[in-house]
Amino acid sequence: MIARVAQACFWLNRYLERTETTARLLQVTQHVSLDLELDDTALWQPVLDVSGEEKRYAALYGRELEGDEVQEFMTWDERNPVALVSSLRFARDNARTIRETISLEMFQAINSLWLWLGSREGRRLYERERHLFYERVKTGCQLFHGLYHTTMLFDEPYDFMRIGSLFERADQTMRLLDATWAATATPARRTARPTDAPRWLAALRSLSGVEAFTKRTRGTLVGPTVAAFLLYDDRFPRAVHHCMLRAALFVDRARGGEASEAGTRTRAVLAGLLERLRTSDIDAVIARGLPLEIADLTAGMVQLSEALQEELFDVTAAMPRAG
Amino acid sequence: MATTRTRRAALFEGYAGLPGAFDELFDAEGRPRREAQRVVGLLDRMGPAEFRARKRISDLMFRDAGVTFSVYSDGRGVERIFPFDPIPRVIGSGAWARLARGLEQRLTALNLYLADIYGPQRILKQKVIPRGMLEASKGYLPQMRGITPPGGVYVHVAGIDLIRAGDGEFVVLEDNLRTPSGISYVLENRAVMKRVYPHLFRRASVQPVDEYPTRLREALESLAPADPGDRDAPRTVVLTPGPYNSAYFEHCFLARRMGVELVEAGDLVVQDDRVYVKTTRGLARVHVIYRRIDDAYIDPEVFRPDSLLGVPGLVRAYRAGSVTLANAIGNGAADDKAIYPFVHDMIRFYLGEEPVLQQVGTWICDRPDECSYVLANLRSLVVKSVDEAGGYGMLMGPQATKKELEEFTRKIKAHPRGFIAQPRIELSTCPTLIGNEVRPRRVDFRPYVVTGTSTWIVPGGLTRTALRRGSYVVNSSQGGGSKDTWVLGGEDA
Repeated sequence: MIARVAQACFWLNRYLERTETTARLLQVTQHVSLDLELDDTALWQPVLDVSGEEKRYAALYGRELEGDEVQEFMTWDERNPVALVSSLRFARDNARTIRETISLEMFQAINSLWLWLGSREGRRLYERERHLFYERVKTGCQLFHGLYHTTMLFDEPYDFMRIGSLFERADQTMRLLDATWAATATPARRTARPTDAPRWLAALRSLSGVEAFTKRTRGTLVGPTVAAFLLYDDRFPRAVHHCMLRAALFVDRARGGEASEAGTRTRAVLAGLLERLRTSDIDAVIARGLPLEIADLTAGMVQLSEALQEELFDVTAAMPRAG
Repeated sequence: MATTRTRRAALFEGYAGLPGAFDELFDAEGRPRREAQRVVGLLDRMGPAEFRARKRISDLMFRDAGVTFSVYSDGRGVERIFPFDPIPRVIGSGAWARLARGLEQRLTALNLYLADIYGPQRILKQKVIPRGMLEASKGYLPQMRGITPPGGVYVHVAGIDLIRAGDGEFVVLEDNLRTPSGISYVLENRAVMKRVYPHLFRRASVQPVDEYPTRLREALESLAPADPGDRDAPRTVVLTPGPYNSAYFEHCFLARRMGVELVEAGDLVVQDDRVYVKTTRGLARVHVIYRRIDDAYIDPEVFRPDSLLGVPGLVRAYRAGSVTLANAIGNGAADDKAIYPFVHDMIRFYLGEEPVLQQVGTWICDRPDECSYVLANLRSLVVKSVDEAGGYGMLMGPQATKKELEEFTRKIKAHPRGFIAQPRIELSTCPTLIGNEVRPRRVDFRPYVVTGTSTWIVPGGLTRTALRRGSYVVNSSQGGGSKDTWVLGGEDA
């Protein structure tokens, strides 16, 4: 397929995944604020940590964290590139450049979500029923996901869309894990606080992972167990290991089969990441420091994206002609 | 049990056309025309409330489907919906047959003219058209001389703008032979009409328009260069300037419906005088390009060395015959507003026939005597800049302010070649929903002519409508809307 279109498929799904994850995180955090006696900073700092836009927030709203302002910043503020409204705009812009590739229903789904978000009705629901507002954003994204499984050819564009979703999902899970780890008791700060378990619960909930966690680990709700689950589980849809396993499948399909000469470096980087995820021992990882491990994995993800970009999206005239 | 039925108001109650203008649905006595009787009856029975409710549904459908065009008012590119009016315009089969005959004749002559001016130039040598007229045309590209496009076809897709004079006769206003747009609205309007007003279509024998994308692809591929080595041949693409182009929606729409890929210039590369597209697995040969980018931006090697747009080497490949471009490069020499007055002469010269379709009498400001007539009668004329489209650069004499008249006098004197003038023609009207009322609004018409190894005219076309009272300007960029156009099959006169 046309390289530029492949790239747009990839980014369309990345941005849409980001939209959904952001909505999930804001919805859950807002909900937690009703149960927990936490000040705004303690509650909303992890949200900013996940976004990586802390500095921009400070510049725009001041250093004091205020819950409502964080939500405004993360939902509506177009100056914030990872605000919900920005992610959805990027997703829709990408969809618009490839509307002849995606199915008509898919474009309509993302377009009506975008128009609704920009309408007075959208803003009004945000003011009145915030929980429902985020729910509506989530279901809008989910409608799109459902549609691409059921209305698109299982062909290259589909493969690149899946790769986009999976990369972003793994990335967001690591960001959330990192931020929650920082906000709760860690081996370096041993006393567990009464808010720790609810925080892990919230993190799992924002990933739709509470029940899966219970089924898969039978563990208690403490950092190391959750971390192991979110990084290494091979069945949970938002666990990093699972995302990379699935991604390997679609990367191979998109390259034109395992033996294909296209994208060999992408495949090698991905294999390296998979090996590390498969063989790591959580105790050893924690002993070295979980944030270090997350940093390494994130660097691996960056390498992976770069390889994909260079090998499959940046086709130059020097490339061999397709047979 | 007795029920009281409140008498519903009829949609067209009290409707009256404009004096002097032909109305598409009603005759001068206010009776529905024969071809429109059925649809007028059905709409009347539906009643205004139901009709307006359905209109809201159709508006939403256009919005969600993103059927938009882009406008550059603030540099960022705003997408707008092309307002849709659900009262169809109806053309009887007899009127259509005559129109179709006239269009085919006109296109045949225009195509021969292009082959001639980029070839032997007989028409210039025999002084039917003054050489200076051609050479002053911005659309004439001497670099293209000596290149014969596959099958000798220059105009693969034409959109001919017509109006209907007071007597109901179709009159050609303008030829669009480069990259005419609007066909996507024709198809989308019909699709929405069928979904929102299905009962109107029952037994109405409205001719279908959906075939267009398939017919276009077939026509283009019938002219593809041979490439026996490639099992994917011919590979056809639609070339778009990108998402910021005002017709981007249409480019996507056509690529999707033709089942071909949409590419931007950066996706294409020329090697050894062949065109390739960059895919995720390397380069793949392209045989046919339905290009929706202007001549000036198509190949920086030939036209605009400063341009970052375009595909370097594309003209080399075209010259080598390894790629079919639709439309051909250089067609602007035939749809130039200053060449328009000569089209009837072309028909006589190349075909030895009398023109079927009328066209509007035109004064060419480049001719001193005609120019002085124009300057003396500015107040009653419509002046058009020959290099602009979309209703820009136009003076509507009868409605112009003193300042505008002075400004145009100055412009015409400074650059007479740049302007032509025509009498103001009464555009026909069609009933149009304005707020809660049905009012006469002026319309024009653009049918589409597709040529491959043979010519096909889609039975339908784009009816654009001025939405402001008294307005003659139907362009979408100037606030016009559109309607579905029904060409009836069968036996009516």
